[in-house]
Amino acid sequence: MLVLAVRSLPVRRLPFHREVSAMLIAQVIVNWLLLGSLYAAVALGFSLVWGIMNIVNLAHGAFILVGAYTAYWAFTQLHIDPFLGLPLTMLLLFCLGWVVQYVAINRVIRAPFLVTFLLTFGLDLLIADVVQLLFTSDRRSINTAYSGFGLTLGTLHIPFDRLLAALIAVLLTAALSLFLQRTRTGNAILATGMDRDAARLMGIRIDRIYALTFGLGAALAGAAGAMLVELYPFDPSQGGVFTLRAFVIVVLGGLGTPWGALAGGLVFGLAETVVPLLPGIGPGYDDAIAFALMVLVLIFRPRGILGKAFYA
Amino acid sequence: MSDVLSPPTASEPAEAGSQQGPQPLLELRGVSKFFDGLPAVKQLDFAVQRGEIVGIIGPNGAGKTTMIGLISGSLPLSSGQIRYRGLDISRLPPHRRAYLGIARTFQVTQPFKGLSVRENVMIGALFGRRGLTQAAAREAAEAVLERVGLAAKAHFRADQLTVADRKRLELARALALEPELLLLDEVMAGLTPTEVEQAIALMRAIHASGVTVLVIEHVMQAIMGLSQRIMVLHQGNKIAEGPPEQVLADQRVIEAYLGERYAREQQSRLGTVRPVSQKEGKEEQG
Amino acid sequence: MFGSWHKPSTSSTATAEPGAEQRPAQPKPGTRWPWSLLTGLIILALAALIPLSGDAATLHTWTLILMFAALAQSWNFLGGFTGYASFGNVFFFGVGAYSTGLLILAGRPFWLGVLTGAVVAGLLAFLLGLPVLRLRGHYFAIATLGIAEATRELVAIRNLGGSGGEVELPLPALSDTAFYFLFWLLALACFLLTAYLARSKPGYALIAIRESEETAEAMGIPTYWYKIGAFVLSAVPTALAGGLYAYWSTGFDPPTVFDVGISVEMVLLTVLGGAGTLLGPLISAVLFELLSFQFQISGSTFHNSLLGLTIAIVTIFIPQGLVGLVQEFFRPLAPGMSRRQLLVEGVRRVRRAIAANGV
Repeated sequence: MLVLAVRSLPVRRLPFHREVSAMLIAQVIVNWLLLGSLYAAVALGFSLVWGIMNIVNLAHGAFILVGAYTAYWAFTQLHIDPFLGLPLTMLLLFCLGWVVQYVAINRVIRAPFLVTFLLTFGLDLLIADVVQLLFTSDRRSINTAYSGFGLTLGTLHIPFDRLLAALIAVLLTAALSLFLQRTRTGNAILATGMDRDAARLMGIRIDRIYALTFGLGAALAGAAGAMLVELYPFDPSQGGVFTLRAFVIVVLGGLGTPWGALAGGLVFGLAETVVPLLPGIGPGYDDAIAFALMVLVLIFRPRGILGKAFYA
Repeated sequence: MSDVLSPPTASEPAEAGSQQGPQPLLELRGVSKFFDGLPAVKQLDFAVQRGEIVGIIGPNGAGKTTMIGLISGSLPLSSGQIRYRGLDISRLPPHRRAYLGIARTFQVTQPFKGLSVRENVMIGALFGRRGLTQAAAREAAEAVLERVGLAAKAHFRADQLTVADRKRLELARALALEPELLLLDEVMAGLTPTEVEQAIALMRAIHASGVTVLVIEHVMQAIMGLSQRIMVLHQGNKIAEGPPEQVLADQRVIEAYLGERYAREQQSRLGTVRPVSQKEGKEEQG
Repeated sequence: MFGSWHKPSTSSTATAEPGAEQRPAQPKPGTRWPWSLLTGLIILALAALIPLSGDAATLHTWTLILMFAALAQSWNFLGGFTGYASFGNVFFFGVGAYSTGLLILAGRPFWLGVLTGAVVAGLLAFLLGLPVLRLRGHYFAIATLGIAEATRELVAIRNLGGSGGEVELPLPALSDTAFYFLFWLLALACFLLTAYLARSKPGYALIAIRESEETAEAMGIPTYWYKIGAFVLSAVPTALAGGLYAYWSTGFDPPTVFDVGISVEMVLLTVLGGAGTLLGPLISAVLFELLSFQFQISGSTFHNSLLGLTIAIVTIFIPQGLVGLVQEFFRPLAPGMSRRQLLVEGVRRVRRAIAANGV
C-alpha cells in the first residue's frame, strides 16, 4: 500500500490563558498577523503560477520542501543562516522550477486541466521521494542563536524569527507586485497571463515566459520553505499539506494579484488562530477548517476577497 | 407570405406593446441582467407571438446573446420575469426549458467535440421532451441531418467540421429537440453568400413547419428578409420594435446601430435584396 | 451559472482552441464496444484462474490488482465519462473501511459492515455532491481532495475505532481465495457497469456533460442530477472495495485508507488506460500494478517515485491513454493502402498524437 501520510503543520501556539484580557487579545492579533503573513509567502508562488499559466501546481508543496531542506542543509553543513541564505535558496529553486517547466510542463500546457494537474502531482511525489531519500523521513529543525528570543512588552511576546519571516513575506509580495507592474519582463508575464496568443503575436516568447513564471513560483515556494524550517520542525511528508493550504489561500484571497495571496493568507491565518480558541473546538482541526473555509468561499464569493478576473 | 404560413393566433402580428393581443408564446417583463454590477440587459419588455419569426439586431455588446441566455436559462436573471406559454419560467433550469420546447444555438459553437455529428444530434432526441429510444433517436437524427444538409457528414467527428458545418450542426442539434420556440444566435456569421441563401431558405422552411423563431443576426440581408418584426437592442435597452421597414427608418436605430453614413446605403440596398430572398424561400418550400 | 470563477481559465482555454483541434480527442466509448467487452471478459476470466497457481504471494498481488481495477473503473464513471476529476475518491474507500471495521468491532457480521459502508458512501456522495458538483475543474478536484484530507484528520483526532483511528480487527473467517473472488466479482461488476454506460442513454448524458455541459443542459439533460448520479455510482463500488480491504487486511489506520495516493492512483490508472474508455482502467490496473509489485519485490521502496515517474511519462506522452493510442493506430484509413503504408501511417499518427500538447 501507499504510505503518503500528509500530517498537518504543528502550529506552535503561544501559552494561552482563558481569561480574556486586552493583552491576550493583542497577543492573538500578533499571532494572527505573523501566521497570516507567513501563509501569504506559502501561497504567493502558487498564486502566480495559477494566475499566469492557469496551472494548479500540485508540486508547489514539493518546492517548499526542497526550499526547507536546502536551507537546512546550508545551515547544518555550511553554517549559513536561513534568512541570510534566502537568496541562495531562491536561486536554486528558481533553476529547479525553470527546468521542470522547460522539460515537463511546457509539453502539456495546452492539454486539459486533468493532465497538468496529474503531472504536477506526479512531480510532487517524485520530488518528495527524492528528498526523503536524501534526508530520510526524520523530523528536522533549525536552532539559530536567536531562536526563542523576541520583543517582550508586558506579557506580549513577539519572536524575532517569526517577525522577520512575516516582514520578508510582505516584502516578497510587494516586490512581486512591483516587478509585475513596473518592469518590461513583468509586463510580458502579465500580458501572457491575460492572452497567450495575443502576447505571442506581440513577439513574446511564451515558453520562456512560462519557464520564468514557473521558476519565480518555485523560488517563492523555496523562500517560504526556508522560513518555515526556521520556525517549525519539518519532515518530507509535509509538502502536500502546504499545497492544499496554498490552494485554499488563493481561493480565499482571489486569483487576481499578489496582494490576493496576502489577503487570503491573513484570512486563513485568522481562521487557524481563532477557531481553535472557540469553546468546544480544540486544536488539530486545521485541514477541516481549511476545507470548510474554501467551500464557503467558493460558494459565496467565487472570486475571492480581492477577486479580479486576471492576474495584474 | 408570412400571413399565409403563420398559425391563426399570430395572423395579426402584434405591434410594440403587445399586451392587449392574444397570450404571447414568450414574454419578457422588465428583464434585467447585470454582470458584476454592469448592466447587459436593462428593464426589457418584449413578447413573441406563437408562429412569429422575430429578428433581434443591435451593435456588438448590445445584449443580444445575453438575452438568448436569459430565455434559454443558461444565465440567471438579475430581475424581471420570463413567461412562456403563460408559465413563469424565470427560475427553471435550462433543461426544463428545453423540455418545454425552447431550443437554442450557441453563437460560439459548442458541439460535443469528441462525438460524431450523428451522435451530437441524437442526444437532442434522446433527452428532453421527445425522450426517444436510441434506435428512434438515431433515425430522428438522420432526418434532421438530411434537412440541414449534413447527412453526408453524419459519421464525422464534430470537431472535424468546417465553420459553416458547425453552424449547421448547431441548428441540427436544436431542431432535434423539436422545439416550439427556436432561438438562433448568429447561425449565419461566417457563411459565404451562397450558404447564407441556403440558410435563409432553411429557416423559412423551419418557420413554415410551425416553429416560432427568434433570430439574432448580423447579416442584414438575412434578418430583413426573414423577420416579420424586428427588435433593436442598444446597450441593453430596447430602442425600437416593429416591422423591418419601420425599424430601419427609425432615426434612433440609424444613429445607434447603423451610423448615418451606412443608413442610406443600407436602405437603398434593402429594396433589391428583400424580394430575392423571398423568392428563394418559395422555391425551397415547393 | 457558476461560470464567474472560471474567468481566468475560460480565457486561456478559448485561446487554446485552435491547437485543441489537432489534439486526439477523448477516446469514444462504444466504437469497438463488442471487442472491448470480449477482451475485458477474457482478461477477467483469466484472472479467475489465478488462485489455481496456489502461490500465496501471487494471489496477494492479484487481489490488489483486482481491487485497483475496481477502484479505477469506479473513478472512471465520474472522472472519465462525466469529466469531473475527483482527487478525493479515497474518501469513499475510507468510509467503506471504517463502516466495516466499526461494525465488526461491534460484533456484527462483516457483510453487514461492507453493505452499510456502501449505503453510507452512496448517501454521503449524494449529500456532498450537492454543493461540490457545482464546482468545476480545479475547484472540484481540490474540493474532493480537501474532503478526503479533512476526514482523515477528523477520524484520527476523534480516535474512531481506536487511538489515532487505528483499527485492529480479528482474523477474517474467509479464506484468501474467497477474498480474491469477492474482489474479482467487484471488478467484474464495475466492468459490466462500464460496458452498460458506454452504450446506454445515461452514458450518453454523462459523455455529453463531459464534452460540453452548457450544450448538454440546453439539450434537455438535467446535468446536475446526472453528475450526482455518477458521483454516487462512483462512490458505492469504492466503498465496497474499502470494506473488503478492511476485513482482508485485518487492521488499518487513517493514513492508509484515506491515503491521497490511492485517489491519485485511481486517476492515473484511468488516464493511463484511457479516460472514458471501457477497457482502459482494467488494462492499466493490471499493467501498472504488476510493474509496481515487481519493484516492491526487488526490495526497494520506490513506489512513490515509480508512481510519480509513471504519471509524468503518461501525462506528457500519452495523455489520451493506451486505448486512445491503439484506436488512433487502427482508425479507419483510406482503402487501397498496402500493409506497409498502413503501418507507416499508423505509426505517424501515434507519433503525432504523442507530440500534440506542447507550447
